[in-house]
Amino acid sequence: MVEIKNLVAKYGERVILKDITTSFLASEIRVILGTSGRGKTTLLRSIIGLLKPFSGSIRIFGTEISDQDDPGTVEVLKKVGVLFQNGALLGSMTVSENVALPLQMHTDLPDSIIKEIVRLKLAQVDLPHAADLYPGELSGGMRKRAALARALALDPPLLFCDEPSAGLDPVTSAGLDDLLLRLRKMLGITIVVVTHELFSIEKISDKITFLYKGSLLFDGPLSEAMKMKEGPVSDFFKRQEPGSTHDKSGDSDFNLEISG
Amino acid sequence: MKTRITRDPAEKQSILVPVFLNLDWVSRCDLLSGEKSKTLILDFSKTEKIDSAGMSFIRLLHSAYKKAGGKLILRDLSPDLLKNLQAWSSPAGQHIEKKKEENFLVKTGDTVLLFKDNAVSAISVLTEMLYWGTLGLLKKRDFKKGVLGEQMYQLGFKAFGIVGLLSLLIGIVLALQTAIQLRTFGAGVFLAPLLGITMVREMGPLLTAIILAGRTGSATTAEIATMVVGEELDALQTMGINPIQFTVVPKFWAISITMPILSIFGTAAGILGGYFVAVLYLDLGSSLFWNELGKSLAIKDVFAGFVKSLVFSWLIIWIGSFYGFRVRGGAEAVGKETTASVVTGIFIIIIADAIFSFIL
Repeated sequence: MVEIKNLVAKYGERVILKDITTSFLASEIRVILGTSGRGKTTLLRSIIGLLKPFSGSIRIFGTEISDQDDPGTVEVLKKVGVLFQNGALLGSMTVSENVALPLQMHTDLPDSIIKEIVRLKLAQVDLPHAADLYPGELSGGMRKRAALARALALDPPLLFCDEPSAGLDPVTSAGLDDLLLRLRKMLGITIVVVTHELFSIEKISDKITFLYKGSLLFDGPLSEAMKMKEGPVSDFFKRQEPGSTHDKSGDSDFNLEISG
Repeated sequence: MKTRITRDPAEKQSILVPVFLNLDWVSRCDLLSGEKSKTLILDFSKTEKIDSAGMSFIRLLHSAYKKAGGKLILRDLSPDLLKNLQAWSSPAGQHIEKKKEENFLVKTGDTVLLFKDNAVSAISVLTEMLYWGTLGLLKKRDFKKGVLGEQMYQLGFKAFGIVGLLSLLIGIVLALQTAIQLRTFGAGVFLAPLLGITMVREMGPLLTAIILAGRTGSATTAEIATMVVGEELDALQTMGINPIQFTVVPKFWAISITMPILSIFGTAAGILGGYFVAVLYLDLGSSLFWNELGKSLAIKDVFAGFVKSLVFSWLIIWIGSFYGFRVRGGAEAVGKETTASVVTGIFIIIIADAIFSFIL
């Protein structure tokens, strides 16, 4: 479904991702994880075409992701839903207008059908009463659910979520995880989630892709990752800074002279 | 206030640190500016707490003594406080990099490169706007139904009042200043051709453009910049929607249609202002004013005014969009780019007007 080969991504001269090779299979929930600043969001942005790879290739449904205005890429993007970290709903439109947007842009469906699909999508994400509200009037969790409804508007077989739990309370966060699991069960879609929330990872992931300092350190089932005894992956699941288990003595340049 | 220092025979300074080493004590302490080549003992025997200012103070003092060849001794520091101090210190090699002092040549080079990047980016926005607004429409049409009418209403219709009022007032002022001079020479009848040509060729399109640069240019920048900051444009891209077509093209067409109309309206309002001055101040007859005006205006004057207003409208949307797309940061950056957009917009319009004065 998604094939990434030898991907290198840079911001200016700064290398963010080094030689990443992985693939995501149909109907799985893949979690891309790692601590902050390790290249998770960069990987996601590269896959969805927002960041041009420095080298390497990304194929979604067998099509190379290139120029965003390339007809092939546009066709692929119609089959992909993206849930951004802050929702990225269009602030000048109501929730229902936001959800209707991909349908209006990419289909010739009559308005009555579009309205019905919007109602259905909002019901799927438990937001039936927010249709006429503007994004600015929604809470963080509601905004994410509305954005999820928009991402699902065209029934994409592939859904990307960038830190869906970020900034949410544990209850709302757990609710969103349940929603993703329900959607996978109902629609059979592949879900790629970028997160560092341990509870979410343990709850929803089939496989994980662990990034450490821009490199892919582990790519496989969560159960195997959990069995690891040492190293950054193990540290991460033990809620420690990856790499923190090594001896830090001598790291500090602040050696005080103490007396008494 | 001087810090109380005691000296022992071995030339060691000793300072008793208070119970709470906090920012108040640090701000009153003058140790950082004193001599650091000897040994300083900080006595923590009574100290129970150290805040961030206190920790920074110890750290700075430590480096200053180390550099000057002196020695800093922390006496009777409790294990907890020591642990905090050491935990707070950064691991080797993780210092925040200081920006190196750059010489004149490097700064000049950076400025030239920045200018080049901005020029390339501005030309890229212009070509994309022109392509997706014309030929690109045959390829795809990524905008909502009815958006052109909505934008024409927002950018054009809502500006009618302000354009009309300001043009009328400028027309009155311009006519009055001219009329005073003309009356001295008994040449009041020339007011109509003077005012007519000025308003049709120059002031009508220019004044309308300046008003719209402030109104529409700033709104365009603010709207696009807010969308950039809120990742809304990224979201559009991932939905396979072209952001230029979605955000800029409807405004491009709306302003292309409404600006010439607004310009004609502004010109008419200005001439009307002049007419009032001619009738009320110079005692000219209505028919004489309109006859003289009609005789003095040629088709090429009207054409010049039309071309100017059309080009000005494209400049407004181009500059507004360019500043919107280049925003980086948050709300403050949106404000800065909006201000820059208006200032640059007005500047470029006046430059373009000066160029037109030679061509048309």
